[in-house]
Amino acid sequence: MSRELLLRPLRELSRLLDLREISSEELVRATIERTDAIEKDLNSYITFLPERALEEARARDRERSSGAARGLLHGIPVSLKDVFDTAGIASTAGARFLAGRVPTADAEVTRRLARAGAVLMGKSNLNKFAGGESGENPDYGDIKNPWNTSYSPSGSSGGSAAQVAAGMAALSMGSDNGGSVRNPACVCGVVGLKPTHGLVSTDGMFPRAYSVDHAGTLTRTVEDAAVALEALANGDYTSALDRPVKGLKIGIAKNVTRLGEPEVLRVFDSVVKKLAELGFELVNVEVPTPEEMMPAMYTVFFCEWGVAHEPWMRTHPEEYDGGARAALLIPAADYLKAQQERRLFQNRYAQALARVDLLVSPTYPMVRREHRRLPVAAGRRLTLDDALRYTMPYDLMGLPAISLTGGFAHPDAPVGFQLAGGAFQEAKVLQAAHAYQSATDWHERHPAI
Amino acid sequence: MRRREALLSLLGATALPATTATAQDLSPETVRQMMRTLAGLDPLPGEEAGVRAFLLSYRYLHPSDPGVEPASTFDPRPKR
Repeated sequence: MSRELLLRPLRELSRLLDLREISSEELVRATIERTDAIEKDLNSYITFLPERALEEARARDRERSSGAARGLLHGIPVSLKDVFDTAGIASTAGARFLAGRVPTADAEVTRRLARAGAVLMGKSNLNKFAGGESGENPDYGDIKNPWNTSYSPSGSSGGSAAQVAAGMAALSMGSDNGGSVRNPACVCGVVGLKPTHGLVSTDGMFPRAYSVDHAGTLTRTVEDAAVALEALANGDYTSALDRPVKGLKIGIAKNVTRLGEPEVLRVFDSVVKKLAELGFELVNVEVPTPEEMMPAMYTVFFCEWGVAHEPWMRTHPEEYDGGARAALLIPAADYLKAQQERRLFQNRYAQALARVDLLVSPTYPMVRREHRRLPVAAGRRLTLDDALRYTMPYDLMGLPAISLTGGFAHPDAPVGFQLAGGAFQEAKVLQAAHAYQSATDWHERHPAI
Repeated sequence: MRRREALLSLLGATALPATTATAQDLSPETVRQMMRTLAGLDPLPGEEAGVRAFLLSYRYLHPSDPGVEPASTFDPRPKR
């Protein structure tokens, strides 16, 4: 089976399975062979499960033969960021001291994908504890970007994004509490969807900060993201994809969208122009700046992290470097005040979204992100705050947001942009993103690896 | 009294200055005391430097960070 076939959208693979042009066993076997060939260059897995996947694939083929195919994910190879519990399979959250942690029950996301007939290929590498956007893991090693293995795939769902970009999975589940699905999607040239907070269950997902933790999807197309969301959230996210977009209003907050490397801003400008050509009405809006929101974000984030990780912070203090245990020193009054401020930010976002259907911004302010070294832009070295400035607000607000490719800075450096909408407006976010993707061919480029 | 000063007072770590305290008040020993007293943590050797940096970088002990309101003095009104 060709590499090109493994890089086709999930929806197309599903059609080929349905037509019996390929079997799930053949698809999974080819995926295993591809993984065996390139995984040494990417380091994208913590646990790879080839034998188990083949067994599952054969079972899915038998079901299909007996007329019991369960839907579009039936027999499709998928991976899970190693924050989703898997019964009988180690679930580490990227921390080696948890390598012996073998859950007895699946996470809800794991259950739903299995119920839909997806075939689990393995558990993906990530930033330790799903923290940060560097694509680094001191316990399991750096993850590499398949477009250019000298660079990071970003994070924290870096292994998931690398696998989808390289044809090692048609869908991978990630988690996002500051941009961890959308940032790696951006620099790996795939689609990253972070739904509304709570729409996709985080039951059995290793906690980071519960009020900003989201489960999200990494796929090669927007349509695939809609297909996956239907399995994960029980809604209808595909039937509206092809509705006309003419007249839909997209807000641009010019007070926050002008920070990034020049190629990022150039691509963003071209995206805005294309959106206008497609019939969207572009409207200037104002939203809270990331600089305003960061103190509340960090207070909420670290306080909840301290609560979720307190047992390990006490029993394994050496696993929490860089002063992370200071999370346990944040006073309750600060947390409550941060939540008050969060509500006011939500009001201001609601005011902006009362005027428009969607908001657009860059996803990630940099291209070719190196491990352990952020690039320089606008005369200074970018910071973690900069890296999260476009994605973090939608975690704090709990609003749905998607990243998809809007162009290339270099032949090996995709650049994404982000569309976001009101709470539970996933169908509209997907509709707009699908309209853009259908009118462009960036998603048809794949890494040479 | 600011919360930060209240913490220092609680700890008995230092005589409070007449004016707003600054980052210098967060000596390594103060940080270690805060970890023990407020969180029941036994500090690892050298850990106080990271904890101190965290406390300062997340702005809830350092009111003089230009352009950023410290979390401890959040103004619940929308910013203009």
